[in-house]
Amino acid sequence: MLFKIALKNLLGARLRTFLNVLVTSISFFLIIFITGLYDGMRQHAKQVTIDTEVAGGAYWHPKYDPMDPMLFEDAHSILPSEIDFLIKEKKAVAVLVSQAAIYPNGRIMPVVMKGIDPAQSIVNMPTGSLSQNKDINIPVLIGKGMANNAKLDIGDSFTIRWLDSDGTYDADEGTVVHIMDTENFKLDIGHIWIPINKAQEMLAMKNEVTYVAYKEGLAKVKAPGDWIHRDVEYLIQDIEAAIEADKPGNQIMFAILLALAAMGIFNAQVLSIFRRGKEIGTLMALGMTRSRVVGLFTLEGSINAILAAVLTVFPFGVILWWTAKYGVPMPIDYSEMGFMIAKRLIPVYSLGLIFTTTVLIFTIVLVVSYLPSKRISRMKPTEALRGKATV
Amino acid sequence: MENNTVIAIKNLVKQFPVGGGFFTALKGINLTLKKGEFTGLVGPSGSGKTTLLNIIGGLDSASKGQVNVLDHSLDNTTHNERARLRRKYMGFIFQSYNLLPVYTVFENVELPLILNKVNPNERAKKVNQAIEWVGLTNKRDSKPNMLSGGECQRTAIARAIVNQPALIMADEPTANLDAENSHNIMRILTKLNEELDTSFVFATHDEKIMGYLKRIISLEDGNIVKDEITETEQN
Repeated sequence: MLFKIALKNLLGARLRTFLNVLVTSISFFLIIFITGLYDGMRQHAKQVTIDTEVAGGAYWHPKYDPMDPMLFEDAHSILPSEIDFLIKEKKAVAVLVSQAAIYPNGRIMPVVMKGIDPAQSIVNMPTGSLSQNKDINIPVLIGKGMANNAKLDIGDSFTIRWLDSDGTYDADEGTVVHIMDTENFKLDIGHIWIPINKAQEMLAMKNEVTYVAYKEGLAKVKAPGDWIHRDVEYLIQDIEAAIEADKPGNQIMFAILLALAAMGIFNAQVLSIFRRGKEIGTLMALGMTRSRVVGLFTLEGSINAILAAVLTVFPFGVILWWTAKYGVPMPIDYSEMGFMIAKRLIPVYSLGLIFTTTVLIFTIVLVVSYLPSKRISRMKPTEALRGKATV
Repeated sequence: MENNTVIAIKNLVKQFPVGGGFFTALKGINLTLKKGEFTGLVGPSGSGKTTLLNIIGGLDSASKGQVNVLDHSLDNTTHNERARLRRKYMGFIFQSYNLLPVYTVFENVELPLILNKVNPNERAKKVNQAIEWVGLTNKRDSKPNMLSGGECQRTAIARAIVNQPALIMADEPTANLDAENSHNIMRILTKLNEELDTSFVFATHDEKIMGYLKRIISLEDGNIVKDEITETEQN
């Protein structure tokens, strides 16, 4: 009986119902969209790191610590045969890391110089550009951020100074052959990439490397010697830690969005219910009990929430699907600010997010339908009939 | 209580809290109404007629005294018991109609039957009959905002009678209507009273309808000052 009356009330009050459902639906959509965008941003940061740096995992020289450049000069050796085999099989790429200084336009800039095989396809970097011009003495690949900071363009030459394995400083001229547009700010700024053979020759470290990144899906080699295996979890732990540290912020943002949604829904529902004080009085005069009045309005609220969920799926669902497939273009390039944010951000709408949001919105709608109707139903029918309900 | 007694009230006092004290709206009312009576509670504003009507209808409760309606004592009854009494045995007609704006005439009239869990076929039959009684067959699918004041009140009457209650209470049913509509409404109610033997209690100070009442109880400052059987009834 209550369902029939509730449905009739909702369908009868076309505009009021539409506005209530729309407010709830917009709340649904915004929470899912913004949280999805935020989740997508974090997922993207992780994926970019894997694509451009980590691949399937790595083997590090025992003395290599990417956070301590002072150790770079000792962190190199010839690879153990099993790891070297992976490189020959094109299942891994070797990188030789050293400190260097560059002098673009007369300025001095400390950089991390990395030698890499131009023909590699393990990490997503345009290293092929390093082998395109054989006439260039030291072809250099840099990131867009680095190019902006050093005011370098393709074809620009600058002096590179380094310390070789004998402890001798040497210098030569490098030429920018390509400026890569990467979203990984760690590669974008403070790095120069040169062919690994050239790096080994410059540093007098023939066949020596610092670390090896291998293809995704490969099993750990059985005899890595004293080289240390680093899996993906280890290599992205800084990103994971950043995400973990960001969780309270994310939860606060979710709570704020939810609170804003709750206020919108509360406003629409309370206004709607309190405007119907006289109607509640009439229902009571016709013999409806208080509990049924509360049940009726709570039921109306839940039908409202169901309709809002349907509206969120269609047409807002189309927007969610479209953004999940094609992404949302970002207005500026955040990578220059040290954020790993895609130029076209793909939101991630997880089932957990949709389920949690649905449950919370339903709860809010039920509470904001239940509380005011309970309050009105506690009034004397005579007062409700006079429309004296107040918030 | 005799079998044909519909309302029996003894020493009814109703007080409302005002500021730090109380305002006494009804000061010891004694009243008995029999089945089929067509009674008006008349008096100026503030005399207590609507308060008395609300107490009889179980919409409000007495501060002191005994109220017996349709063989049910309203003293110390719960809200749910009073709601059940209204649902089963009473009908209400309000000054401002109190129709649900999103419902059609048919749906407004149908509501008391839905509350009483009458099956859909019987519901449709009774609703159509009630609408026919008040002459609104051609407006059954209209919503209240498409009706005149007289039509709205006729819809409210149809809603009050659809369940064929033993007692109908009308609070200033003609106050918002012009003379012609007032007379039409009263003619409908008189006909219902005669044909269905339903008891009616009006709260009114509308002179136009006094001629239709069979018993007039005059109230002043919360007291019954006159209780008379009219010529209509005597004839």
